[in-house]
Amino acid sequence: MKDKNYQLTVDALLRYQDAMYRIAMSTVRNADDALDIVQASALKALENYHKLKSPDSIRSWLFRIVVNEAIDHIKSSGRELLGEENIPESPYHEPAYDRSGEDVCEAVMKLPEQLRIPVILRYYEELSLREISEVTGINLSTVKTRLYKAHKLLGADLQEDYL
Amino acid sequence: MNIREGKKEYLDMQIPEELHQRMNDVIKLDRKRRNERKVICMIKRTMASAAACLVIFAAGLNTSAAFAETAAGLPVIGGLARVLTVRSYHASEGDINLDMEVPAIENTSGDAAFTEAVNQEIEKIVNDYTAQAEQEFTAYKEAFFATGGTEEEWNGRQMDILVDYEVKYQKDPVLSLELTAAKGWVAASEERHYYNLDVASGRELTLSDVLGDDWKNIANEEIDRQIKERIAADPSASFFGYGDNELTEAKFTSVSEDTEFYLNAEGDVVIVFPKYEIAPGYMGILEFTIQD
Repeated sequence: MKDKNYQLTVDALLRYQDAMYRIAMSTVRNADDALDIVQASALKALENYHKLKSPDSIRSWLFRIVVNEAIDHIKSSGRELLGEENIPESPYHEPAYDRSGEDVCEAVMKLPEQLRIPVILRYYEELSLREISEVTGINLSTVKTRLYKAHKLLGADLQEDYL
Repeated sequence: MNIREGKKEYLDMQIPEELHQRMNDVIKLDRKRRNERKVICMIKRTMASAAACLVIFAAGLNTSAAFAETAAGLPVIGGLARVLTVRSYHASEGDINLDMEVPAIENTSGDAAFTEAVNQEIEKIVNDYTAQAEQEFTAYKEAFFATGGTEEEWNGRQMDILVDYEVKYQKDPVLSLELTAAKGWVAASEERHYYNLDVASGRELTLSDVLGDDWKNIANEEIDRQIKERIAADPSASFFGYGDNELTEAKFTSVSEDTEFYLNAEGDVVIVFPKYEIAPGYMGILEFTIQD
């Protein structure tokens, strides 16, 4: 039902636009760029709504478009995405026990993108590991590894539900 | 610490007011674009048959009052053919709004049986398009209420069906007509038909007629060149199998006898690929002008 998918896409764009913005903003760290990325993503979603396989996965599908647009944006500025190999020697040396929520959020935003994106999708946008795998296009075990590394880097306690 | 402790700050991130405005604009623009449909008809004659027709035309003027009357109504062209509105109406039938200007070609010389066949085809396309659109809309509406949709959710939505035309190019002996057929509701689809006709000899022109024996190579090389040029000029442009687009099995390789084309105001051949044929959907319908 192509036409049904079109209406679903419009509805989902309206419903998830704030989340799309937060993800774009978390990735590129610039409000103007994030707005452009959300706009371009919305256009792409409307152009490609017929490719949506299952209406249940529309949120992951939209987020995937946003993440891809954001990554393209970073690449077009002439640099590669930062991964774990780009972590400075000891950036997170402050004591880990008395951080406020603000400090935690800030520390997350300082993670290299390849770790930051899975972290915000998992703990802030509350996606499942499988959904994160769909959104980022990386396999499940790599998603887990990156979340684990992010915890280690932040000096964060591994929760039972960390995965 | 727990990473989730930062969630509140994350969700409290300031969202620019502009975001919602821009999202609404994108959706509105996309809906509007989907409602614009274009179907193009082209008629072209060769110089040789034009000369033959002009002789008949001159004879016709002297012998037929009706024919003279017809000729007087011609805007520019000398008398080979002209385009008339055969049906014009604006009506609402229930939830469906019709806005129709249906054209037909009047052939005052040459092979009238041939243009008559073209007219019948235009008529059939318009009728089929309208009937199918109405059917889709009725089926959608039935499904909407059958699956528990309410009148309030339906919110009086309607379907618009539009058929219109425009004479694009008119220079003896060539006549170019654009036919537009559109439907708009929750979503829309686009349909274009092209006719490249030799009115006098009564046949459809091929790419070989307009580009010569080497038509395939000429078209392929030029299209390949322009695709690369467009990708270089616009980072957001994407074509299957080119650059970092991985869909190599759908990559453009060659035009064929079935490739659609028309002639533009300068008389150049314009090759047209429907949406999704050689590029992702957001690239839309793609045209490539093949210069002489």
